[in-house]
Amino acid sequence: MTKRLHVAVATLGFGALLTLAAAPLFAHHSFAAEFDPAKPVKLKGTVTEMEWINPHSWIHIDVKGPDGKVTSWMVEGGSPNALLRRGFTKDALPAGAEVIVEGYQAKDGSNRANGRDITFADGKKLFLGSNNTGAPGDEK
Amino acid sequence: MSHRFIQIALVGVVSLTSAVAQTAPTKMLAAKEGAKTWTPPKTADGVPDISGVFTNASAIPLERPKDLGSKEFFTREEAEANIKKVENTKEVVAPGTYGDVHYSMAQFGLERGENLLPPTLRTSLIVGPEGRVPPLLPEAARRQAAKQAANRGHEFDGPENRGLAEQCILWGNEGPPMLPVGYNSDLQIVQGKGYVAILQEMIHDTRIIPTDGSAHLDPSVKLWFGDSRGHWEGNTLVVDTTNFTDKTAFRGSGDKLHVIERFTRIDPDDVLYQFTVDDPETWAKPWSGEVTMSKIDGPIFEYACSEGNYGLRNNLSGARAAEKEAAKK
Repeated sequence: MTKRLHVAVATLGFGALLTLAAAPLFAHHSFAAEFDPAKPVKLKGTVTEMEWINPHSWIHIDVKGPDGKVTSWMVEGGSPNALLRRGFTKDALPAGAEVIVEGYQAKDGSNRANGRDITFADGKKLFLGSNNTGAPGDEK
Repeated sequence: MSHRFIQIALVGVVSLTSAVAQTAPTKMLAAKEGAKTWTPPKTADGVPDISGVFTNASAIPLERPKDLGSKEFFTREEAEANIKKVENTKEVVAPGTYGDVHYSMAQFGLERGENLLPPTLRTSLIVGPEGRVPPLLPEAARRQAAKQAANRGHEFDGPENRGLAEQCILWGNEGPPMLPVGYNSDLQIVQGKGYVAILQEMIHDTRIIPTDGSAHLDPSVKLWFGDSRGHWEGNTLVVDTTNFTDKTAFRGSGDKLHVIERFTRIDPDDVLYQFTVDDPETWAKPWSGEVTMSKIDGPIFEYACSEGNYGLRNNLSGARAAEKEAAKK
């Protein structure tokens, strides 16, 4: 492990094997078909459950509206395998945690969104204790 | 663990001499000094030990950028500049566009900048002066166009119309040939008596390769990954794969796809992976490439793709909602 370079990943085409989304990054499936770019959402909610499932994790949150009514949302995130390697543990996003999610709502109008950006309600990144995750563009 | 993933030793890397280039048909920046005389260990069964957990992630594209023409190798300085260029390339996405409909890789993905990339002087994974996949033969181009036309307008009719990856059937890294992908190019090679097995984390498949001298399956048996048979040539595992289904359609290939792979451990941490792809009904000539697999910390994690594949269902429900909306108009 002494001679590694890290660079952003160049995308490689692999022909007819995949139906690639318009998204610049590979996803397991087409996020562009699942979520509507015309429906941006910003949700402040309380985590009720995190589903550690592949190909993508899903974070369940309860969001209280201005009228006090609580609605449940599902937020799609990175794959558990990637999160684990990134240092994310089962305790990293416990039930009860307050988070802010910015993303886009599902095309079918249900309460699902992609987790374009997720932070704790106090502004902290999800990677507590590790502000510098090393990723390009990440805040030091 | 993530910090180990991202430590850079660029200065150390580029200052090393390219000793491996003399023993392997590649020019690597990463060669360890002394690698020229390095002899790979043997397994308990007396064959070269190529086992381990590896990544084949690469900053080098499969096909050479056209502006590089027939230039097969960078100079060391150019390679450094290229790596910096790739490293500093940021995805530019505007709010409200399809490109923005994802999740922040920098925030909670592994992908951006967290892959290990063995450095190389190559300008493309495909070797040779052309550095590109040959053009499809006319008949292959017609075949591919017909397939695409048949699915046009039906992309969301049902799960079977979606891409193979979205259906959790195949991912582009699995091959053969096994090519790096945009994220998670992690794999494990395990050896047993008379067999080599290759587990790709994405999407979950294991290729089981007999090395016992047995013959290929009957040509009537068609498989997603084809039928692989291996044998040892010196320190190199040579794997011959036939019996592909035409549904695999690797870059437009048909069921005559034939792939030969060569795995050679070139130092304690690296396996040189070389491949030649042929399909007389798809390309006028075979084409070849190579990429280095480098050891990483394990383990390989389970990737039960179908288990949580809400995305496939959600894509279809999104399409149904759009159809209802369109019917109202």
